[in-house]
Amino acid sequence: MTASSAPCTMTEALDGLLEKYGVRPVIGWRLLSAFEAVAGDDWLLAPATTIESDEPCDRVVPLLPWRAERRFVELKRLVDEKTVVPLVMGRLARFTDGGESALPHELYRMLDLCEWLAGDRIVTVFATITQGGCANVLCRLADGVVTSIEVSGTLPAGSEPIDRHELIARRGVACDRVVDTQVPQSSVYLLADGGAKTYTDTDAELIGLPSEQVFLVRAAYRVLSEPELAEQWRNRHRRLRGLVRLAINSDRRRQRLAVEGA
Amino acid sequence: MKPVKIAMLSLTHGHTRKYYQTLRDSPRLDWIACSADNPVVRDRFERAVAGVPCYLDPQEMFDRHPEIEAVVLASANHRHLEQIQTCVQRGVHILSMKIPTFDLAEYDRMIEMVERAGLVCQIELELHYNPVVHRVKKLLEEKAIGDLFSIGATNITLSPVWAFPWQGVPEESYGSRVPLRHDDARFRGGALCDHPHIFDLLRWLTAADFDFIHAEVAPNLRRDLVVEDMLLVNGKMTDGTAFLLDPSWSRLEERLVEPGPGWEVFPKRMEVNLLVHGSRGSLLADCFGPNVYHNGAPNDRYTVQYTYFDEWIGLIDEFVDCIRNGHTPRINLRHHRRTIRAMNACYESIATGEPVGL
Repeated sequence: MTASSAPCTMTEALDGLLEKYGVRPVIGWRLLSAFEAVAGDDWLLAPATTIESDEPCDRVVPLLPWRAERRFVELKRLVDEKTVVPLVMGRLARFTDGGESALPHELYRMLDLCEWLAGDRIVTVFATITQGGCANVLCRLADGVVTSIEVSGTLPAGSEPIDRHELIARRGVACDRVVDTQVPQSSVYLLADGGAKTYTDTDAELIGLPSEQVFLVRAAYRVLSEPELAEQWRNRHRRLRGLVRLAINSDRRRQRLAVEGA
Repeated sequence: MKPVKIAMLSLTHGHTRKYYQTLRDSPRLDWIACSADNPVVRDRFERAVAGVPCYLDPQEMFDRHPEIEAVVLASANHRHLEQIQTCVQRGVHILSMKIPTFDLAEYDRMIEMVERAGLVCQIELELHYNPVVHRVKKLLEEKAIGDLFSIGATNITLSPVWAFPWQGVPEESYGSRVPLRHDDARFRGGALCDHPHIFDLLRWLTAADFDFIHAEVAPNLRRDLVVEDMLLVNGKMTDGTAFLLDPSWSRLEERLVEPGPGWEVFPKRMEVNLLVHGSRGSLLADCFGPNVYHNGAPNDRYTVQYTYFDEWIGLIDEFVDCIRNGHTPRINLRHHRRTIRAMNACYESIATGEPVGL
């Protein structure tokens, strides 16, 4: 698929990828932009943050779409290939217009990134949470790495998220933001009648879809290509929901809490 | 206004060089003399500044220049009490570096001595004179983002210990040798002791005090340091504002014994950024930016060249005003004590693994 035959929907896009690469899913599937219970035997592929249960049924596959973002893939590669090594500290921040209701979803995403990028497990959490979906969480990982997670939902409605993910090691620092900048940069800046517009297209095969949909399609494609991932991500979903609860409880109890079984 | 006759002591603090231009240029100061802690420091000073006598014995400096009215204590933290005692005996006003002492009993002696002598003792927290911080303060006072919910602040730098070794010696930086934790071979006295500014800023921007504080120390970037170099802090203020602070030495450096070009390994050697969230939006600020960039001499590395604002001008203006007009500095010993208490609470939290109520 190329830009000249851009997909119109996520389902078309996913179908196109499966066909192009000859992937034959082991089961029927439906790709949902938000989880909803649908009758039948198909796998229900939905963003994990929209699945409000620790133990969804076996048909439900929680997708972790941020793991399909190129910048996170490359950050993880820098860690896995020991380009930056060994990690000492992580600093993860994301601000959105989501308000308080977005807080659990934002924490879920960031807690996953915290463990996935570092390749390690969180063992303790201490969180402070206030209005506006603001949370400042300090996580200690099993090998001693300390990571901050800073989220807020206070940006004005319609704002693009502002985020930053930095991994600091004895040899090198990896970050998805340019040194000496405060906000994300874009690939294209259009300054014309109607004001300024920016574009950051990262996927030539799926060009035309909004970024969030691109990441969801890519995550779904991974699961359908590697069906064993479905069970892994169900287990991951259970752990991440537990970590979110732990952070919220840490704030309520004003205590540093240990992850069960850590 | 009659210029204040001023001197500097020790010349071993990392901020020493930042005073040279201000002490020379300010029409409100008459720079009389210096005393250096050792011949190496004196040589460095004499290469940088001409025409100001530099002694190796502070008593000799004071004896030869009884006209000295005020001093900058540009010294290691463990020298401050003794130097303040000297100043009090001689009736000399004091501009202290950012950490008078971490020992609160010692701190209270300093307060008592200075107040009894009727001297000005101003603490050097230069961000109070930073134009970006002033803009932030004004915007917050105008409720540009509504009511405050959360403040994040970084005060991250390279480590100055190779040029200013006392900052890596627990007894000279923290004042004593206290293990970080019972199971940790490191001691108090590292990056945290270098970065009180953001703790102070929280109090200034919120007009509140610390309610509780929690800190986590990470493994060191520099394994050969015996003090901490990487840590993170969170907690809440008494007005409910949550905070997240990064006071780490997280930017690696070349181990120069004299700071200069080529110091940076990471392109940016220092950052103070603020992220403030409120009921009507968020505010992001870089207190030392934007800057210019180069990849030239000496190492051909991409490097941030700061377009510094000179906070030291405002700081000195306030100091002189306090001396001449009998005012009390905004950052006086008594005010600053709570900031020091909060920083000590970080160490307590690291030791216990629990938040510390203040």
